[in-house]
Amino acid sequence: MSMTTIEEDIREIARTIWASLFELTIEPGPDPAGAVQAEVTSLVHIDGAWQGAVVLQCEMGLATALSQAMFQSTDAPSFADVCDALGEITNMLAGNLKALLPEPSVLSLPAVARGSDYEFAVPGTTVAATVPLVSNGQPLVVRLLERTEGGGK
Amino acid sequence: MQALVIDDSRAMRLVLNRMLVELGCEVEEAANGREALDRLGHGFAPEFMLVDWNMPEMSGIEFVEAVRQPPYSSTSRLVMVTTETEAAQVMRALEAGADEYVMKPFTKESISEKLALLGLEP
Repeated sequence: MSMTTIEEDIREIARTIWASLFELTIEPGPDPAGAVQAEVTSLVHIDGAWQGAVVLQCEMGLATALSQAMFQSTDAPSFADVCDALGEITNMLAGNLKALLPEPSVLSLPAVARGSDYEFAVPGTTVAATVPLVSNGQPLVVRLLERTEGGGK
Repeated sequence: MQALVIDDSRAMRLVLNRMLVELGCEVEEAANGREALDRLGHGFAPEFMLVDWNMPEMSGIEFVEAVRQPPYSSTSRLVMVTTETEAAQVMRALEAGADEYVMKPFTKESISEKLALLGLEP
């Protein structure tokens, strides 16, 4: 797998999702290390010929804006609505990435977490790609985690 | 033209509902395959259904398999709305009774084109 290619693919998939669902911009972001305070983490596992996960992390402000855009509401979204919106975006990212990875494989249902003081890990995986993005002036990061040989479930 | 949108995501149901209403459809919603079967079992017979693939309780493919069999034996057009791109999975859905599929992310235009392919012009 070429890192450059998969990172470009992630950016293109994100652009396509944003164009179809939101009237919000999405652009490449700066160096992701520490740039995004991961107040919301959304994850979808890929399991099969290729094993790993797609993770989207952003701050609550952007999660709120994305949820409001999907629900076309200016009201503060409930956490259930944030889970729904972020989970669906991550599902689309994962589904479109899955098409570029060895088949056959299946997607899990999304899982979404929020908080300000937590660490996040998928045991047995390493980061295959990290793609920083900026939407509506707010940072987000998409990571592709790949299960490494010998990584336990 | 009546449509049934089956998706566990309230956000996606809302997005699809909005697009279909703009295309001139009357839209009802179900949060999963089992809820959709309940609607059909009570006599609701939409011209077409948009069916998500990856849902809890009853997946889209399980719904398609069930709805084409008695006691439902639905003749409604079934369009899978999915991120699923594997040819084998798409073939499985078509063999189970789906008529078409739309890839996520989609646009109102891509939905309209698929409906036109099925002879459904709202």
